Amino acid sequence: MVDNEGRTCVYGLRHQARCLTAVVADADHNKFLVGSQSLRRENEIHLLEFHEDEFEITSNVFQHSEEVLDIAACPMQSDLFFTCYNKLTSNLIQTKANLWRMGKAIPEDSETNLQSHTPVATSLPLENIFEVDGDNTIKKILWDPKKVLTGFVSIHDYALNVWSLGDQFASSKLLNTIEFSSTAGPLTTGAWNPHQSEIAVGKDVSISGWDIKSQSQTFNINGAHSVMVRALDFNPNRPNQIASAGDDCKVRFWDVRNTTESIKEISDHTHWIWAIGYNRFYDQLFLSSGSDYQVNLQSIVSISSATFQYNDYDDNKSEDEYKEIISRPTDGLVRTYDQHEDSVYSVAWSAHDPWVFCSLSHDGRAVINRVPREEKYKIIL
Amino acid sequence: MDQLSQSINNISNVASSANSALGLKRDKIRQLTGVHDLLKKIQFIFELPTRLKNCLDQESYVQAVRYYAKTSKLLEHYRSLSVFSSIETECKEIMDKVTKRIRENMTNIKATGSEITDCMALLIILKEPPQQLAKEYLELQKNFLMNLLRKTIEEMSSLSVDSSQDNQPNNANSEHRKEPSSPISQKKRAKSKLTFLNQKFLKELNKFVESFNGFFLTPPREIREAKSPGKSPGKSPRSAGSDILRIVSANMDGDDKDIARQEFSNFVDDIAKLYFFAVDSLLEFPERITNLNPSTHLHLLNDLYYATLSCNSLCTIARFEDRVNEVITAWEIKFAKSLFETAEKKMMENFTKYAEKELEKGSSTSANSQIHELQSYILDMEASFTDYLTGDCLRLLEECIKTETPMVQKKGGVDRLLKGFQTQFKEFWRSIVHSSSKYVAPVHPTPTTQKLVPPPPPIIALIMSRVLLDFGEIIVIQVYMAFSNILYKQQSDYRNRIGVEIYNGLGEKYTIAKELAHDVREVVGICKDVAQRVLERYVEIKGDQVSSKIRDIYIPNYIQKFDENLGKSPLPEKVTPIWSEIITDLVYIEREVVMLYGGPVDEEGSKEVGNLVEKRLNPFLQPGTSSNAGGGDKSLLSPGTALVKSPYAHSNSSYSSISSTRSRTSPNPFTSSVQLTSHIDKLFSDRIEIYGIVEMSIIGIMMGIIKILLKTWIEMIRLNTLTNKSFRQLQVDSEYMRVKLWRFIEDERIMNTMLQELASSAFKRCIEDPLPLVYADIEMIVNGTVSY
Repeated sequence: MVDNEGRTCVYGLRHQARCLTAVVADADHNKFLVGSQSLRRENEIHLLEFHEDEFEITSNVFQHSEEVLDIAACPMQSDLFFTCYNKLTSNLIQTKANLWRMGKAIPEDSETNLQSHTPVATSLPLENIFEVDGDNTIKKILWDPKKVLTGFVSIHDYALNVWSLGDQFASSKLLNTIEFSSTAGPLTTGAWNPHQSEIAVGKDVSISGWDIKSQSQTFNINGAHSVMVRALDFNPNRPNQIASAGDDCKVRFWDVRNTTESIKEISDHTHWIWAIGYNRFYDQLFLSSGSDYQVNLQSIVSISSATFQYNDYDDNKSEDEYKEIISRPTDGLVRTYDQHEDSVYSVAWSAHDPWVFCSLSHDGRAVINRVPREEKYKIIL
Repeated sequence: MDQLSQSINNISNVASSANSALGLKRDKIRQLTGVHDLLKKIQFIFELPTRLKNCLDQESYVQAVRYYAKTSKLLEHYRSLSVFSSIETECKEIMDKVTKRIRENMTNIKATGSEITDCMALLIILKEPPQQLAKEYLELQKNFLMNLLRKTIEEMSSLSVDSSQDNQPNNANSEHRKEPSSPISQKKRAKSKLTFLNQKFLKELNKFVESFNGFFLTPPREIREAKSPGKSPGKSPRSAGSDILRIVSANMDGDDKDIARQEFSNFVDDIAKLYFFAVDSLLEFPERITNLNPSTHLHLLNDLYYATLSCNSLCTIARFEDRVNEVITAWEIKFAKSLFETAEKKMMENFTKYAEKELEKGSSTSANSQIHELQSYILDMEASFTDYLTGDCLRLLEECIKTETPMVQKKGGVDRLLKGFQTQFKEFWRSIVHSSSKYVAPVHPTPTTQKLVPPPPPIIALIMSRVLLDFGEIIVIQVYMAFSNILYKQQSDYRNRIGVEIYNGLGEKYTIAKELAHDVREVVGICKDVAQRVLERYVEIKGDQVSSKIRDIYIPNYIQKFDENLGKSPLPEKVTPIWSEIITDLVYIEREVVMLYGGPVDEEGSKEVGNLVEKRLNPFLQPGTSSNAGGGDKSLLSPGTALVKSPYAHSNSSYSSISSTRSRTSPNPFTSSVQLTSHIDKLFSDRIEIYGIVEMSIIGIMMGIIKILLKTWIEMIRLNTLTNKSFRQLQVDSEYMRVKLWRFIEDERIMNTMLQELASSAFKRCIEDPLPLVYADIEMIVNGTVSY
């Protein structure tokens, strides 16, 4: 087998693009969804699949006429996803959201797909399941991350709507709404706490948490960043830990039980940070990307769920010898990926291989990278 | 002659016969004396119980122990003889009583340290179990010494000079003490207190340490030597009489010894801590450190040092010399620290005061009056800072090393002192730099509970970076030079030292003591480094401040509002007002920066006007769309981007495909080949760091802010959707900015690249097929705004 260590797999969309998500429901493949963004052309949704052995990306393309602002893959069914998109009617821009099902015409026989070696398949249709009602300012959809999928949340300019899903995801019903004041800018982003029914939202420079059952505020971080908050992500393995990033080029980590001080701060971007992501399997690995054209892979082991594990090693005085050969992971920048030539607005970890991730820059370049082997061995050994 | 020899022979014969006759008797006599001695001994032994009893009755336990120690071996040896064994038992009984009495004496609350020690010696001779004894002894002495120390400290604090009539170990000032009525200086009072403390307590402690060590830990040499040939420590020394108590030692096995040693050293640690705490209280620091007379303290420390040295056992066994040295070092650190801290405090106060003033004032006062104010303000601040360090501060340090105490003047004393100061001095610079950068650092999150403290105004960061830069370039070296000249000149071998040459920011050469050279370089480095970071912070704040205006008008997807503001005409009429506001802001910022980062603002201002006109006209000289020759010299600088004077003009030109030559560098994003070239351009052009390193010059600072501004613009446009109308407006605005930003920029490549990026982003974000304005129209609109 060819040693692909350090290699990068690049895919060009031939469209500008801002949004990217991993197909979380498909844990057997490295699949990502990318939505394009162009105003005067037909837009597309690209379903990318990264094949590690062949070290190549194959794709299916779906038609999506409006430009895609955000994309959210269903955690239960791999062919379902939401898009938030701009719709223009008589010089009025509306931001709407739809649930889509990928057209059945996808050739399930992946081998023929590989043999043909066509990097881009012909456009396939999308089945519109329903449109999310609202005030036409939907900017983000969050799926319930829990095993029993019951609903989703839509983030609007000044509201957060909680929806329940009908049978077979065929319909949705508005359960309740949390309103936000229209001072100090609209909501910018949001994240669903995988440990409880809590949504964190960013608004201007602050972050707040909301219990969507009782609609009460769970925490509030004023001035979390000196300029706008752009990205949030909950630690998948450690309850109460959330990461935030924004226009002050900083990533901060918070314990929501005590928000008087951040527990960690990283500043190695030279422009706004647009996307962040904890590795879902090893939360000591953390990605951030921004308009400085860079993707940074950080090790944050000291505040991760793995920190206890390594403390245990300390007590045992490392009986095993291999631990001396392979040094333990430490905090700090693992690698900077600079294959992008434009702002990197999205980054996502694969749902299948914990060491694979994809980043997407505005010029439509999707890049698959992997955690350096050295770091990987530090973590798994 | 024969007669003489005859008679001698006779005499010798008689003598030998007499000798042989008496020989038998002599032997008998000898035997008799031996028997007599033996009888005497036996008699002594027979009398022993009575004697011991007498001793017991007369409470002369020492004598009793002495007798007993003498005979115990013998008794043991002849135990088989019933006579002896009965005596032995009798003696034992009595000695048990004696032991008991001694114990009672020892545990008596009123027992003094030496009494306890004496009793202990007896008990050891009586072969009481040693580990038990060690424990007991430590316990008793602990109580005694702790009480003694407490009492002494109490007495000491209420002590007036005349009460300490004891002579002191270093009687440099003893004659003064004999005049109790004379006014007592602080110095003498502290000194006498220390003497009192040492006399009363330290001596006792010394004694205890010595005897404990001798008893249990390391037997005195005589015993160790005696031990090897002889058997018991009690028997071998003949001089058991007066010396018996001096050379007593218990036999303990290793483990017990270790335990005893551990407990002993714990106790010594504890009490030493208390003792030095008491000493510390004598070394008071005045509120204003400059009022301190360091030689007072040094004299005191000197006394302490030599008083300790005179306590031999304390030094050898309980590391007291080290401990005293620690105290002295601690004092030096404290002294130097508080000396330097004052300077830091003063400076930080200056900053906070200025910040408060600035916040109160707002932006009401005119910038011009500020300029001179600010310049003189900084100069004053720096001058008073330097004055303090090279004046008061240096004077006190010099006093220290000149203090005529043996401790300081002994070999290596001054060196040690200087070394300490040097370390603290370096620490001081670090600390001042640290607190500066911390002061302007952003606070996250905003505290909710406390009263909101407004962050310092950005100008503080600017001032700070200037001050730190001055530190790095001039002041640090200047101050170190002063230190080097004054403090290091004292060294006798100064001339032999090789000075190290260093250069300050102005390129002036200095020769500095070799010891300091490394520090100077390091501190200079740190200062410059932090000056840089603080400046970046300033640029960040200012950049964000200015760009917030852009954020406000380009709220994502508010295209309808955007268009409504543009009026009815399909053509833009004027530049959007915020851009002229932003330019005004930039001009203010430039003034602010010029105040501190020099640059010939006034002359340049007037000089630049001419240039500016030329520059401004430059694009117009090249008739709008076909100016491939115009860029001339500029294109040499950057083949990729320099030709692009106005990105919109290019977009325009290539869009109407007039100029095929220019499509090579055109940012037109619509044909894939052009997109390719723009990618290639990007590949070859350096990445533009937005919040990156800022060059420490007016140009660098302005460029930093402008980069933030333009990048914000690009990103905000990308989040927006434009109509043809807003697209054209953007064309106009960007051309206006291009023209206006000229004056702040030296190298326009970055600006052009960014404006190109803006254009290409706007192009793609336009909902209709963009119909760009022709350059002449843009020119007219911009010109209309620019030149009134």
